[in-house]
Amino acid sequence: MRLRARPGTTRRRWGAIPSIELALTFRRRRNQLILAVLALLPVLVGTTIRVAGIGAGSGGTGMLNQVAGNGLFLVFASLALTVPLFLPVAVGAVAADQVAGDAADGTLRTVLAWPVGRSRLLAAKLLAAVAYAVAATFTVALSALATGAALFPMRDVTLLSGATIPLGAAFGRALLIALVVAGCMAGVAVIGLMISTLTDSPATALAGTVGLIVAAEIVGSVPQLGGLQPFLFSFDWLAFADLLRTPMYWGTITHSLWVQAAYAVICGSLAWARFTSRDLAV
Amino acid sequence: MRWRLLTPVVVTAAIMAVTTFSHALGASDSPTLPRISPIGLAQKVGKSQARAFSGNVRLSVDIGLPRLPKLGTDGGADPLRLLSGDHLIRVATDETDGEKRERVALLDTLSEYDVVRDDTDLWLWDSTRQVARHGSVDALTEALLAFASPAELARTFTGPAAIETALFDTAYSAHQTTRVAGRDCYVLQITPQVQGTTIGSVRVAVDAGTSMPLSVAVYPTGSSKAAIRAEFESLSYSVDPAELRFTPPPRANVVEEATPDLPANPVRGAGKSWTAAVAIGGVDPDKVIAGLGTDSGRQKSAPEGAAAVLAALAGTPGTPLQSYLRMMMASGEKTPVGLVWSSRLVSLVFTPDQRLYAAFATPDALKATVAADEASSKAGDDAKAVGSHS
Repeated sequence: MRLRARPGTTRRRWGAIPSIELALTFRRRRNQLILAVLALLPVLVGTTIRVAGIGAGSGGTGMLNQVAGNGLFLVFASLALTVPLFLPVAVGAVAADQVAGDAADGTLRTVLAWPVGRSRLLAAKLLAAVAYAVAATFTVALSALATGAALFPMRDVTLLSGATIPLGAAFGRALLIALVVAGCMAGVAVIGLMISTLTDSPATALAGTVGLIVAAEIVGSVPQLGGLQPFLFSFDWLAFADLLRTPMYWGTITHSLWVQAAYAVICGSLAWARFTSRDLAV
Repeated sequence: MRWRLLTPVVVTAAIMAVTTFSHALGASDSPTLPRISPIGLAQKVGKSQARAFSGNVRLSVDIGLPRLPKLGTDGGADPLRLLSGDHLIRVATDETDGEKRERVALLDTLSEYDVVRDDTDLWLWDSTRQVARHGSVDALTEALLAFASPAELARTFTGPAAIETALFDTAYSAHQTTRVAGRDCYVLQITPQVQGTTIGSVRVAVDAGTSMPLSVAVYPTGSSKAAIRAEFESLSYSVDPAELRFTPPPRANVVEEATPDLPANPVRGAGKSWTAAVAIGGVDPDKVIAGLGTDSGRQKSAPEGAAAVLAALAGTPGTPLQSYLRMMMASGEKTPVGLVWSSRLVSLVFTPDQRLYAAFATPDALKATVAADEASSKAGDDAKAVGSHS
């Protein structure tokens, strides 16, 4: 027996299904725990820098070196540290659970018995996964901001180009950076959701998503595979630092966001095709 | 409802088609411009009208060196990495009031390396280590700076001297047009007609309006893959004056560089035409490489001569880079004139008396140039006259 929404019964409030999916995603204890761990990372990094006294001429390099002199740099440094692995894995893990998790614990059949089209259900799950990606990014950024403000001085920011901008303008750039990173992570959420529709086992979906992220990162770090790299969803994740230059350079970021959009459209259509044509009457 | 499974296939195909089509559209875009003779075009390049400009340059270098892996957040932007791989460089120049003011910024992942020049005043800014070095512009720095911008790079091949010496050994053509950074360009194709050079051809895209070279691609003999390609991705014939100013940021480590103790006239030419070599005095490869490893903030012995400049330009510490260069040096061939190292485009000779010869020539041609150059300098002061002729 195939469970399909009966026409005529879909006259529900539009917001109902998305808000149920959002609540399910953000109320799940595991997902809250992941956010808590993400929030803890900048605190850990900040405390380490404060206690160990890294920075200001101690020989370290990179953005971490600047955190001791300016708390706002903890935002940039934390994003730079989490974007290559922690953030995408967290976002991908939650997205990979959206469909496969429901299929495994049997709730998917109940959910599909709701008088709602599968496309709308998938859209609601997609919205929840993307919202989680944005929330995860801002959790890292805000936690880093709070930690940085508590442990280090907040003052005018020296950009990568050597110019100094006032703190207010630097906040604006930090917000832009968080939005760019959130956009990249939203791409990961769509990929995770796509993999989630392919299998009934949450473990398989998780392994597939994390495996794909790690594989993309590996391809991105091998110089001999340079021809493939512009087409990897992960390759320009760190391009957000281009917003810390004078003048701001948008070329790589725009390219990166287009790549995310292309992956999102392809994976989204694949997820839709799979989810709406799949036989769930096991 | 199996047809639904076709949707992702159609979507993927559509995206690939759009991407390919837009690329092809950009590539085949050749504007119609009034005809110009190749030599006329080559001379036009020498008299570029552009006194001020700023833009982003894509530089890709593949002269046969192994590629340095991306080192992530450590390592950071570093001029020596320009020796291979793809790079993005921000260039801003203003010569309108007689003094040369320019900024060349190497934009790398999470880091930036800036060279800011105000006439003879020079600032080197390394964002990774938060170090600002202050010094003065010397001949060697000038030569190294010239590498980054297509306009400067093109001058190597199309400058008045290059045309004068190469006129009879070179075929020029200017049949094509192209568009670079949204500007209509003539394409000057330069093909050396001499034996011994590694350059197959050089293609220079010249802005039809301002005569400024906007793209340079150097193809080694028998290769259709450029060994060096520098091309403006975006360009404006104006500069924000703020971009050309540099004040060391607060809390940065400011290092005052002593003027390097270079031999008089350290950079000079040797030989002529396409196999001509550049000779740099006072280069001891071992010392240069060792100089790269010392943290000049608290180094024990200062690197000397050109090593100091290279070390300053390269920043510190360069441990992966050091081993990379040592590996490169170890693959050199020991000959009577010195250590010879060659790639698909460049040959280098390190002589025992610490001179470095570099040329777009085959190792044999360069060895001959070096031997002739040494013979002429051994011939005493009379050789000066010979040198100025060649």
